[in-house]
Amino acid sequence: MDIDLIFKIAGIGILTSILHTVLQKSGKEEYAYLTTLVGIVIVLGIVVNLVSQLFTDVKVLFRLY
Amino acid sequence: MVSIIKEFLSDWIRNLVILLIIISMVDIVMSKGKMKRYVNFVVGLLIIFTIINPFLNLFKINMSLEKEVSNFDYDRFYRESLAEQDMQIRKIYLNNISNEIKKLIEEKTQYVVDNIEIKTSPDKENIFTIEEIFISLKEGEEIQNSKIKVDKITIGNGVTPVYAKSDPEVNKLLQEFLQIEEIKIHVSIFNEGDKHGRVN
Amino acid sequence: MEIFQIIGLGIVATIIIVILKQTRPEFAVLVSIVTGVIIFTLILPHLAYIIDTISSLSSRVNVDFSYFGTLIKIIGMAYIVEFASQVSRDAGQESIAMKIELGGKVLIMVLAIPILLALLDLIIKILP
Repeated sequence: MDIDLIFKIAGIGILTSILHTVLQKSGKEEYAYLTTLVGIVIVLGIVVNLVSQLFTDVKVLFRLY
Repeated sequence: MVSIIKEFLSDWIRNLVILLIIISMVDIVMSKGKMKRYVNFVVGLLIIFTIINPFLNLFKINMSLEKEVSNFDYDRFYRESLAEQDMQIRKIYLNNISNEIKKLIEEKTQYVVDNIEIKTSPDKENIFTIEEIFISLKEGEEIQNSKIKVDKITIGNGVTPVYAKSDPEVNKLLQEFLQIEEIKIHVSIFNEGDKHGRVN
Repeated sequence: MEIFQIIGLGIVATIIIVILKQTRPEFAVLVSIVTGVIIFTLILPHLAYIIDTISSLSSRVNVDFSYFGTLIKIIGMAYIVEFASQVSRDAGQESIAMKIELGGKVLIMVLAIPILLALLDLIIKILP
């Protein structure tokens, strides 16, 4: 849970888009979409983790359990 | 006497002040948007309760909101409203069947319906079945004349239903219409004179 | 001062999201969710302090206020519903945002109805 997390995710995003364009231009379209998908899945994993933490916090804070 | 009033007032004002502070804090903390209205609604209920509460104590009604809220039994509430609905449905159903029987008898036979009593018994799943039907009929008036004519012409017409207690025709009609066993239908036919007294 | 952290984070995240939206819009949504979560986590201790103050104040009122717990729950629900619906709206899904809000409203009303009924009982008892 750090501020760097945002930069990490942004970095992964930009990296994925660069890889996608490169692979597209060099003809291997399938690999391009595969890379994008992998990037999205990784980031989704991180985000889901974070959101579950958020929910736990909110539950404890507002006594919603 | 005066001291009691003073204490009462001071308590009330203290409660109100604390409540106002809480309201302001909740107001600030709550973000803008569509949800704010709902929080305001609940806070409003709180305000009403606070303002009313001291008067309750004055009238010596011991009211505890906590007890009411925790005693609120959703299941019982649901069941009671279901039961009420069922009763109403039953009434409407019986009414409709009575009207249908009346129409049927007055069209197809020459009797006039006096009274219909339907006894039902609840089945499983609250769909009730008809137990017995008691119908009391009277002779239709103008038609009685024509029947007398017929009697004059054909001798020995069999059953003259004027004083009879039951008419198998009517029973069969009803049984076909209602799809119930014949045993359950009791038809009594009366003359003009004797109305009361069911002899079945 | 934590306010600078929050401001800095917010502005940087907004810029990143704008950049990402053109090429990879899906990442933009994820970044916005993450930013929201992180800012909320930064705020969390202070929010807890405020809620605790409200709770302790409510217990100092002489009246029997057990449904302050419900009030706090409703505030919490309103918060996260607002958060989620705004994220959907940013991603362009207005209809999903409305559905989330609808769900939140219904659940809040469900919590509020017993209070309403109890209050009505109270008022009826007073009236002769």
